[in-house]
Amino acid sequence: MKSAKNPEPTPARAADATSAAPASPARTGAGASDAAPLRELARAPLGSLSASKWRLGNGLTAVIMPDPSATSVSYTTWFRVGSRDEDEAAGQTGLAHLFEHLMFTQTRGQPVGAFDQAIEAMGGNSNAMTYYDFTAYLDSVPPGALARVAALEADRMLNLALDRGQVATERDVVIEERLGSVEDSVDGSLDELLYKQAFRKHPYRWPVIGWMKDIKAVTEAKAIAFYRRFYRPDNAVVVIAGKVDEAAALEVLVRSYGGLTAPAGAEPARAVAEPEHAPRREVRAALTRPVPADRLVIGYPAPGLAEADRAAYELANEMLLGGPSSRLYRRLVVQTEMASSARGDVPPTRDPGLYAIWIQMAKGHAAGEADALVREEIRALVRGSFTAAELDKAKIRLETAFWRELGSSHGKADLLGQFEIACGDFRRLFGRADEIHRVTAADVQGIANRYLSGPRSVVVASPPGASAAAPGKSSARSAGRARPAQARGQSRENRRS
Amino acid sequence: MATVTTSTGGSAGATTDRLPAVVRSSGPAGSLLMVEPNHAIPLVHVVVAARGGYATDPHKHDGLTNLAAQLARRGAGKRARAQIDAALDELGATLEVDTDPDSVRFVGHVLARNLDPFLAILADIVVRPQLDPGEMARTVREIAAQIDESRNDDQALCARFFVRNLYGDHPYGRPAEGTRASLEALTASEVAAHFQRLFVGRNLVFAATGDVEPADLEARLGRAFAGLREGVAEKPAPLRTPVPVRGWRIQLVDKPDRQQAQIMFGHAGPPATDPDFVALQVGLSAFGGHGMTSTLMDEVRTKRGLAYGAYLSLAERRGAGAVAGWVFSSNDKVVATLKLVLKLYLSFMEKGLDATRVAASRTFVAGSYASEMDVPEHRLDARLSAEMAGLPPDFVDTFPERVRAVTPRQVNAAISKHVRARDLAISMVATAATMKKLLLAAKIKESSIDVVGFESQ
Repeated sequence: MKSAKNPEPTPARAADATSAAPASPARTGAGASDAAPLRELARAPLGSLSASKWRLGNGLTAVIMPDPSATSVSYTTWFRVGSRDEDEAAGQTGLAHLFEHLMFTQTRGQPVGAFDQAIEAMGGNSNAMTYYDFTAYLDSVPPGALARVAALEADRMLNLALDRGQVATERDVVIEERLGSVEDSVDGSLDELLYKQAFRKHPYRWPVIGWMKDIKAVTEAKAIAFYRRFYRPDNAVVVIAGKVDEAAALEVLVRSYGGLTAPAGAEPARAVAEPEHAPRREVRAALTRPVPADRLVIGYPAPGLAEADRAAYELANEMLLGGPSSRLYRRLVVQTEMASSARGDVPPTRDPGLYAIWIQMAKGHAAGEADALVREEIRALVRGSFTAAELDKAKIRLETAFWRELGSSHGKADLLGQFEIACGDFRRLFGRADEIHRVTAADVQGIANRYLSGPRSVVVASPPGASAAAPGKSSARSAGRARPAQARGQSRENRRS
Repeated sequence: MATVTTSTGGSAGATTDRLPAVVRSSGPAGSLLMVEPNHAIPLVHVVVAARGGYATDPHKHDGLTNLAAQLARRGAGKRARAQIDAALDELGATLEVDTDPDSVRFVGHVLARNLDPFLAILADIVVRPQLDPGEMARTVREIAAQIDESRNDDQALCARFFVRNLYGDHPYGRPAEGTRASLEALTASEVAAHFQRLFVGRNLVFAATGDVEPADLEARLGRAFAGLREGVAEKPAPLRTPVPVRGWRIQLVDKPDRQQAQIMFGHAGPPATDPDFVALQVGLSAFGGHGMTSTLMDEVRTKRGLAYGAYLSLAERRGAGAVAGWVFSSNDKVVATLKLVLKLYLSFMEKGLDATRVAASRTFVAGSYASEMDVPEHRLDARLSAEMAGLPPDFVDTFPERVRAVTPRQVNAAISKHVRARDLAISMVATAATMKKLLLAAKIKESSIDVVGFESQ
């Protein structure tokens, strides 16, 4: 392995990549630590731990959360670019997600495969995920490998070198990914149709993985233009959590990223999506899949992660579907046995998103039965027909979930990154417990009135049967975003344990 | 009670490998207790595990172990199911049943301040289950509905059929949750007898990690589980060696309208206690482990774009754990993918690995262990699984050292002895009308192709 601290071009591969490499030499220089003033922007405690936020002179943001009890370091790089930044009209959906794959190919200094080889030689592993609002690259490495992983990440932030063959190969891999997670997945298909029906204009209407026709039409020229526009230090946040020393981490960051120069202009130019509180009307849609019994998803308008209503909304979901004694789960699965499972997802979107209630009917029961029960229980929330004990139960369940998610270095980095991207301040994460604690019954009733009442839902159901689309062909009806288990983003690796 | 051992793996000079200490001591009624204190967050993760998982299900009683534990969770002490659900939710706690071939576990999370009332509920479930026949009928219907639902997921569906294709009538070939027919045939007295046999002190391991000290937890458990019978430890019947598959036995699980095929392939491997086990893990990791540079991933995905991923792993079991590969590919690429995977696995078996590849795999497997073990619950789970598989108490803590000590000669000897690339169970979830023609035309030299409906098991 070459020195990762100062990557140098490898002539054999550089020749392959010349035609596609970014032109500006200003994008390349790593290692000039004296060019990077460092400012501390924020610091906050969480129990016995704390996190701090910093900014380098080139605009790169860093969040660091040491945890002496950890055994590894989670080193994550978040770019403020997701499927929301794509142009559907130009047939360019799926580009953000494609980079989840392309970023592991080669740079001007590192040949094909060198990134993965270097990470694994450290005893680390790497992954990535794409969401509507961000793309994140996730490395988990032993504590001694911090400097090496930082150098690798700094290198690919500006020096990616694409060629036509790699773009074609990764496009084929994404096609396979989409076939598995959407076309052959009932939940993927339902999810895609749900968002498409709910949103009229906002970019959340198209799937993170992209429409199949757009994936097939991608070219290296489109990919390079996208990379140059969005991959830059002032559009990125590095989040480090785990067994790491803050001062040492800062030194490594300055040394690795300090010499990177952001392209001219304060921020990447992008279209501003007007927030859309979708759906605005009642919509019903269906598709047919080989399911044992009706499967359905019901979508309602939901606040974004940073909005003031968020805590009360999450509590409402918890009261409906958060645990075996929650009112809707108990009625659907335990008392009536009409469903084998029921759950609710409130997605961590930056803009207003879509609350999804997923229900699998038991054989002999139809989707309409569950739909009616859902409406009934939502009306009860709107009326305020719930007890203080129910609200307390929902609060304590969310408190447990909050701490569980923070149980690993990866969990810490993941949440810090999400909050920093969606809210602009990681400290909102640390304030979640208090926000949840302060919610009153009137707050829950209020959000039920604002978001869940009236004819503003999308119901998408799949009765048992054969698909409308013939095998081997994609269709608009069967195209979709990730299955709900992956709804937070497409993962580069969707592997079984 | 006196503490037995404190295990803090890693040798001098390998400090980055060192995992937090776990304290092993005697638990209630002759049980084993393992505790790893971790005060970073105010939660406690608690597990009660009984030795003997679904491999102890009697012949034609598939799903008995899982049903017994599920039923206990649904009524215990003076609480009916709804009351247990409400009491746990009021504590902000979770409590699930997890059944594998070698153990059945109650797995819970609770805020540290609510640990005592949580343990009281858990003790009711373990010591005083109601095992009510009426609730049993309802639980059977619920599990059967969940089995139906699991058919929505082609990957899970493939795994369900694959284990039976691989193991046949061997206990590891049974579905953990049983089948609708096997569950409906069980009686309440059979379920009760099975539960009472497994959940006795000498057959249990209590394990916890989180915001609690070992001595404190030991005392709390002693109070909560005062009524636990000592009983006798489940004497694990020697697991017979599975009848080997002969040739490439393809099973097509027919599901309508598939645009891809989910493919699992593999054979029985050695028990976790086999002297070759770690060396084989190092070898198999180079071939199909969880890194992006494995042979399978490189050849199938990176070079050819044939599939989103291709993997192979070895299960850590008391008996012959599966060596199982997994790949999924669109219909027009299935034949090329399958042929390539089989060719690569044959070559791996015949040629083994050179010293460079072994060294790289050792580094990766040993080093990435720190990441895998970063989550306290994962460490606890790994320690419990090692205990259930009959491995030494320090196996998890010393795993990186064991990996680094493996030589290329040992790796290649393990590959030569345990890899069976000419005798594979292959299960594919696909649309049979399309796929069978493709497979026959491709002349893969399979020993057989059987077609079964996706709702048939």
